[in-house]
Amino acid sequence: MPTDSRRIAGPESSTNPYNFCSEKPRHELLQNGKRQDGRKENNIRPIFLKAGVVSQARGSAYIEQNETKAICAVYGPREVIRKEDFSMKGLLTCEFRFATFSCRERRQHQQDVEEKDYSVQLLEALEPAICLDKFPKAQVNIYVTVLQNDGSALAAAITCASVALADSGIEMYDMVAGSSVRVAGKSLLMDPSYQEEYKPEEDTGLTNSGSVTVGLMPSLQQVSAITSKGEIEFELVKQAVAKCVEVCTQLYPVLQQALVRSVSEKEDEDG
Amino acid sequence: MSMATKDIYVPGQRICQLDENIICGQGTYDKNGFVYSSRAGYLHKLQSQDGKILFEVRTNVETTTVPSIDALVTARITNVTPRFCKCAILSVGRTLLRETFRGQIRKEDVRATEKDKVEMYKCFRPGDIVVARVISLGDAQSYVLSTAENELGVVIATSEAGSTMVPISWCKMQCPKSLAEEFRKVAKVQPQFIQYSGT
Amino acid sequence: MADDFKAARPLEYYRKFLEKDVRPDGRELGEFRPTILNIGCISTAEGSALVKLGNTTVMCGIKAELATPKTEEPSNGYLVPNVELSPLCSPMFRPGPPGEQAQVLSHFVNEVLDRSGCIRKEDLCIQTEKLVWVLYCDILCLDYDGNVADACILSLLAALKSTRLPAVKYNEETEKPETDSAKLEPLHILSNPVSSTFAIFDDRLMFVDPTVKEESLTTGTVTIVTNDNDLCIVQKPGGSPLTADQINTCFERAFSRSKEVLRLIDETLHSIER
Repeated sequence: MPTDSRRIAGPESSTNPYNFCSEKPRHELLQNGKRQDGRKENNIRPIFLKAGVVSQARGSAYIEQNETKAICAVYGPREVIRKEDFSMKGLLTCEFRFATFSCRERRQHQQDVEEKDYSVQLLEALEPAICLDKFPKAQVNIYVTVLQNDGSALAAAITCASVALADSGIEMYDMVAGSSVRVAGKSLLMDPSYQEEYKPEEDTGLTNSGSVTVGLMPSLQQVSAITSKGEIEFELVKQAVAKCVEVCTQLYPVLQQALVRSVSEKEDEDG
Repeated sequence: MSMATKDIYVPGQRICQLDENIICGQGTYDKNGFVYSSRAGYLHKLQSQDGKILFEVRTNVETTTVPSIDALVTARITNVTPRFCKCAILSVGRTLLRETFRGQIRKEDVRATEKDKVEMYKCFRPGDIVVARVISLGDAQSYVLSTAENELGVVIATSEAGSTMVPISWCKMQCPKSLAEEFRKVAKVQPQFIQYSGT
Repeated sequence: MADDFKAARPLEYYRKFLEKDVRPDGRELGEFRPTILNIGCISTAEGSALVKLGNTTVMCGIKAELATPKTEEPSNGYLVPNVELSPLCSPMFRPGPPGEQAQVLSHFVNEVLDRSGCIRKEDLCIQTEKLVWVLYCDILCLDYDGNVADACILSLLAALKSTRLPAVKYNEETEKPETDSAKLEPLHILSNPVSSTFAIFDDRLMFVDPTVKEESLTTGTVTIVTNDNDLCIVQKPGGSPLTADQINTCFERAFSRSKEVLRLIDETLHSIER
């Protein structure tokens, strides 16, 4: 790995101490119809959402789904620094990051493939909801950092970013709610935790194993993004998407409440 | 007549059915015969003269603003060349921008008369604060501004001696300390005549 | 109109307030913003702390890993502090490698760790020449409203105090480490570095804990790091000159701030234990 003179360097290589634990507990995804954290297949974790957390940003939001924590800030519309073609449509950019300490294995400072992948998926999920023609030749930047990853980080990021966008006052056709599901055999585990998440390197021995993440514009009832990983039968994908749509629709009031709270708080500050 | 309601709407929330008496204002859009909100804010119902009702969703904080054509802007001059000067747009209408946009005032847009006699360095100096109007979205780089109106031009300028100057004519300002006179395209500041648009 | 004045003539706007010895946000010159501390908020890290200094928000997460020591220091562990000023925290920063300011801050934090000796690198040794701890102390700024340096040092100290390492033994036969995740041990913190930043305005007025607006107008800053009852680092990178009296006032304020901060950390740690 090339050394980075702009950061304080550590040793060339280091390993997670928990890799050397004597016994590694093997866990089943479902036991007697219950998941490890006691949830049922369909249950999602409680969500805490707060808009307006970063004072310097135009709009911002913080989301907590139990142990999954993410923060999002929106800047703009601001001018595009690099010289590009004139466009009557605004430009949207997304940057998705995991904080170095957010996962069990330490993350590197440089953006890795997974983060780049998530950035694109986030962009695709949000773009259809934004009125880009309202800010010609300017850009809006969305930055999401996952502070702690306990599964379903992308879905949480989509929800969080759409609240941050609405908080910023940038005009949108609709909010976007995100949700994900883990497909394992015949069971569909909604809002998977880190342990339940689909990991390609893990051999489960199941014929159907993977995950599906959906971004939904709940009021318009339009799906803005679907991504799936792993090998899943078509019939199951359909079921999974339907489940996600259902969950996203349930999330809408939560998003709405977070925004109503922030709008009335701003009123109090002004008054 | 304006009526603010206590109802907070969020993007995508349906406000009402669209009919010929309803106009979709700022912060709303219509789709499939319904009016929807496109912002998180309070719903305002405005009665227009022809009996129609204008719906707007407004936020308490500054709305997201980008310079638009015909808008009045306040800008700080950053660079002066013989043909044009560059500036940083600080606010649009009454809305203060968090981040500046680049703009430029071309020589021919400085004043309305005797355009060919304009000498840029006798009109603006770096650091001056000007009020100008957006006349074009320009190229990918900057907005094109104009000061070719009596009310537009330099409003605040600092003299070489370092104090804020006082306007003495439409083309001169004087330093109260050194009494030196400097050339500027001075704005005739008459707030009651300035119609803020786009706010 | 006040807003327009603030945008067009920020310096004049500020002077109007400072003439009366108050700041636009209502603080007195020697007053820090309300400081909020939350310890142990990230469970994927071995130690973590969130600090809010007014609007400025900084999070420090400590990840511990195992590595072989350097040959020239066979019984020393590694301390790797890095400050990240992500584009999320302020419109001033853009995505990409760390900018100048982030690099300066990282070095500052590194210097504080080094000079204060709050952690002995020898304490991080598990087996000489074979196995030592690496503590990656990553400090992430979430909201940049000025004076991030003080917030960084505070979050780092609090995070270090909350760090719990699993018991690791070096097995000489297999030459592999063995981890017992059931046994968690705290770090030995030998001293308490606390940083206080002062801003110089118009060559004479000094005020503590500048916000980002204030930082952009100042003509110089002084950062003083105290280490319990000793001075650890005094940093004054250029700017307006100061008299000895002014520096002394800063020292006094820095030591009183240190007491306030340490009390805050202790109270927060107690409240978690309970």
